[in-house]
Amino acid sequence: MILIDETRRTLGLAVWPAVALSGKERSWLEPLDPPAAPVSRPQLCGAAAPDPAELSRFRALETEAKHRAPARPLPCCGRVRATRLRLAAEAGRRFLPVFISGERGDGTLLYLDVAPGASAHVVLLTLASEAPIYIDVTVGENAHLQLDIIKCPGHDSWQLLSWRATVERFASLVHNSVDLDSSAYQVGQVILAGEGAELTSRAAALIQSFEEQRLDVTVTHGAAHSRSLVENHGVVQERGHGFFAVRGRMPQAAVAGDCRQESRFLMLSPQAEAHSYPVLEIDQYDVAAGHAASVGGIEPETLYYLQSRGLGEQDAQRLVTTGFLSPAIHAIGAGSEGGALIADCLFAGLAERI
Amino acid sequence: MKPELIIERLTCQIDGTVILRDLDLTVRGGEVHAIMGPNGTGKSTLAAALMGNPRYTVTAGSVTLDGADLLVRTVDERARAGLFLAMQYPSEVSGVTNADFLRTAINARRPEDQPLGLFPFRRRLKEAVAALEMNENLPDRYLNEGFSGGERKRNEILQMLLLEPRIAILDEIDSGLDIDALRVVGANLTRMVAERGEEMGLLLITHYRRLLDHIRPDFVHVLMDGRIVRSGDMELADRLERDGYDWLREELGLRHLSDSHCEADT
Repeated sequence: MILIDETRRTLGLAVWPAVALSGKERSWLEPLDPPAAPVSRPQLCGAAAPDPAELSRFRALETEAKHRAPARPLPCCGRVRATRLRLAAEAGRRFLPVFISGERGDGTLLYLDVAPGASAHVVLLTLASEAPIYIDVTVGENAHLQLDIIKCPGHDSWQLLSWRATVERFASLVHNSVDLDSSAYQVGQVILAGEGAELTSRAAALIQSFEEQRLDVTVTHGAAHSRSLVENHGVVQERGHGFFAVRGRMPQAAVAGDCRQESRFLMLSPQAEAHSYPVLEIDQYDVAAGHAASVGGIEPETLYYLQSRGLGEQDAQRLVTTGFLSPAIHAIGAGSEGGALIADCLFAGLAERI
Repeated sequence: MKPELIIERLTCQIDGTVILRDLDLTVRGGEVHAIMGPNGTGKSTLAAALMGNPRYTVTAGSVTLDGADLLVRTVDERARAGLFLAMQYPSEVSGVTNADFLRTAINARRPEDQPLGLFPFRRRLKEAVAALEMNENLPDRYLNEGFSGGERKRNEILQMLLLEPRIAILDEIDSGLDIDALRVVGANLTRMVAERGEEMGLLLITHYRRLLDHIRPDFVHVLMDGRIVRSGDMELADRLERDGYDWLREELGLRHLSDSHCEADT
């Protein structure tokens, strides 16, 4: 808990309450410093331990099959502790940091229920934890959830995370994922279940030498007029390895749907490796869909332009790299006052690493 | 100190094709020079070679800024020495806001322990944005991303206003500008030239006389066949506007581009 409190102070989140979860415990954390106004407490309670059928609803990393390597599902052989967090509709937008830590083998499952009409910004920060994490999100009708999943800089460890979200009628989910230093396997499934449901998902992955980050997102448009945008950006250094797979599924129910995706890698070394798999499965005529993918280095013309304004080559590269990863971090900052503080720390962390 | 850019017998090539041949030109603080010329004669190549664009190779000649050899310097060293090039096609840099970029560029010219503070920077930026009648959200937009042609050109001038170069080269800054935008850019250039006086020299590269209606040059040069073939004052620009370049070609015995190898605008 001391570690979490230190992190809360480092991130500037001392005036907000928080939730701490691990395979062994769950805690509601009161603000470390008195907040300016009283903060209501959402419902946090235990849930029945999931059985294998429940856990099988979470996707394993199918993407590895493309390399004919054995599929490597999230390890879920150990104990998994389940927690349910209910966010009710209330005046204004709730900001809630959730810290997840734990030891290998002890998994964490979080059910995150956002009530109809509610608006919340939940930032999930994973610390030094190699335990599998499962997140099951339901965004009720007309509700809005910004769910940011951040591998806390400075806590080196694998992040093994599978999340699934159901977005109901006219509800929206904004998801941002940032990992600046550790390897990660992260798979997400989003079902846009209700008419007009929306998803915006962004990722910023700084992949350092001998690290590997694999992000896999599947969006299913299960209702009419649903919209999705997935933007993944990765910077790969030295012998790092990046992997983005995005699937947009538009069955017949996806009438007048709009499904977009973009996966881009910026390679900073000839030894760096990256793979991008954009997939669209369309079974309905009346839809708009598009995908873009790129893997490449920094444009020499861009460097020349920046240098022509007085920036040294390294500063110019740093600026381009930071800019490349910034959409997801800017989006975290735009989510709430607390998000802005976290974004500042992420930009500072980025500056230290590139 | 009054800046002085001296170009002597500059020869430059790209991909093995010689574009500039023995070009001579001197620009001093307080002077406004205009370079005109037909397409493909080397105007933009001159700008790029002076700035140090790695695509261009200088094979002979010398360029000095305030007596120091410019050609041995890297692009960023040239910029920090006071050279500025407003580019014809500025690059887009996604994710980098105009404000962040400009502040980084300004601080790159200052001692490390004396960076420009956020508030003084924001004040200067706001004033310059207002003077150029640009959209107020411009500082928070990504650098040149999604900008119209006119916005890009104004943004180049914005950078010039804030970076305060000693020698500024504007490469076809008037292309892509509508009449009102041209007036605003011209007014800002005129004001900057007046305010900075002998602290700054200006080299305008243009196809059209209309820019020169807004900022009157002291010298007008014609670049043809990779060298400056005629220099004069506004009367020369007037004649070029009226009669084109054929009379000059005939006087100099030069071939028309269509009679020889026709290049893209270099």
